[in-house]
Amino acid sequence: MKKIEAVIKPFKLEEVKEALSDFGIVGMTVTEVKGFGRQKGQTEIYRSNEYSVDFLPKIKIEVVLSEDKVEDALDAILKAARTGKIGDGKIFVLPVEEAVRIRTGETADAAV
Amino acid sequence: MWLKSHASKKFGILALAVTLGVLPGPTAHAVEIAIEPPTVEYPVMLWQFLTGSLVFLMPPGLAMLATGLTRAKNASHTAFMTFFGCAIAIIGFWIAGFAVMRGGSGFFLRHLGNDPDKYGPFFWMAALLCVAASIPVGALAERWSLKGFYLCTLFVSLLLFPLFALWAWRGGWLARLGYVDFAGSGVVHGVGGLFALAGATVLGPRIGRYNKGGGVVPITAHNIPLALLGCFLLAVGWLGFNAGHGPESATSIATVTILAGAGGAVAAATYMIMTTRKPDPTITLNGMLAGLVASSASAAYISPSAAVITSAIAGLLVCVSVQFFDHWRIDDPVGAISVHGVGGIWGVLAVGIFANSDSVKGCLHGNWGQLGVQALGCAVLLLWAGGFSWIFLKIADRFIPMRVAPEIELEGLDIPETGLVGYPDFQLVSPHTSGFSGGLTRRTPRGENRT
Repeated sequence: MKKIEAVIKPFKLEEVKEALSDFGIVGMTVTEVKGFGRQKGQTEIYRSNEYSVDFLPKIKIEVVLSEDKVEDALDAILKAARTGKIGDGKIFVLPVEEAVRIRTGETADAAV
Repeated sequence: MWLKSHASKKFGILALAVTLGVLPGPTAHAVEIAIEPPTVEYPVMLWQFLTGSLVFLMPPGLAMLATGLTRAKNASHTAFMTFFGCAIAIIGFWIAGFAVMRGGSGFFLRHLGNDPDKYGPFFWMAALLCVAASIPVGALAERWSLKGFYLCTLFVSLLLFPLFALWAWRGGWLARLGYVDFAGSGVVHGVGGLFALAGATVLGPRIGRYNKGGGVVPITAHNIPLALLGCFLLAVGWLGFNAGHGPESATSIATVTILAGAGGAVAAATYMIMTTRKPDPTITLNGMLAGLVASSASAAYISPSAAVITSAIAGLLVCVSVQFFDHWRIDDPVGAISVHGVGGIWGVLAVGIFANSDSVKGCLHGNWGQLGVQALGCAVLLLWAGGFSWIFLKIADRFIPMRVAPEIELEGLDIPETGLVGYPDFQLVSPHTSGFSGGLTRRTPRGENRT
């Protein structure tokens, strides 16, 4: 089992969710997050004085899935979340040791 | 007087008749009044009630404006100050403020007795006082202690506002010299704005507002729609504020008023777009209010074109003035000093320049003396509302600290001062910040390298 953590632009959430659903993912967890990467925030002007917004709002998606689906899921997210402009976000893939469905007690691939 | 056509006059009376219709009594009588304008006596009491009630829209406007333009962690404190300040001011005015304004008689309104016709002035002046007392809240927000605020509001209610109103209106010594302030650019807004200036000087800037290198650190507003709603409320209230003094030319005054608000906003937004490429809603609303402030002193004496010019200058003044006070490290979170103080003084002077009516003429129409008297009025206003307030605040500060402790300021004044947060269930101060910004932003002052 693997976990995919993708940090994306907030307005891309719907498209990414659709893409992953089409491809057979039945569950995901979404969090509103803030952060910066190489983009390093933005500079704005408030009442004639400059200030910088260093932590920009992003959405973090977490999906746990069996290993054979990881490649396709990554493709789906890439296609849906990419605008080609700076600040599109990042995807991380992590190993998952165990998963348990609380209602039934099922474990591993049966639980995700 | 300009634009005093029969049609506009008739419309004003019709509006009154409609209002009469909702009150108990024979409505047919009201219709009769509308049919014969020349013989009518304006129902003064009704007019005072109507416009005074409109003026009472302005304190909530100022409350929402100040709350929206400051940080979420002080929302409850800022809104409560304006709200409760009105209550303190009215009680103080009833006890002694109104008597001061009348030159020493009428404590507790005892002189009025059972004569309903005579209550108008108190009701009206109390409404104006609430506006004047609410103005400093924005400038001193996020650091003013509630105890200090109570004391200051009593000071404004008992002495500062009534005495200047006594001098400038109702045959006071300034008025006898020829000083003209129609609806109160100076009496209401100048007094409030210059008290705010004195207060901001005595209290000092908010922690983190200016850094040692000389940089100005923006502390951004937390609710722009709320601030804009406040500005809208003020603009509507202003129709009563200006027209209340002139029922016989109410619609022309109202026309001048809306033109002034629009002119100020357009001028300020244009300035901001040209200097920073974006209109900055917070400066644009300051521009609208500055235009309205500037219109008040001359609303009955100037033409629509002069109103637009006066307010456009006020709108530009506010843009420059906000930067000027920042340069001198006088911290004004909402721009109240620039809008009401600078705008008020400009409004008083503008009478001496643009006025063109039967009773008042400015220098553009050949009367330079008027400009001189207006300038004298401004000097008195600066000394009284600015200088005397400063002395009062300095002395009062020794007995009741005007400013909260630094740790309270960093935490937010809501819980320590009012016991309630403005927005429960929201995280107001983020762990990512160093404590004073209250949002997920790091502020980079102009002219400094980001690290």
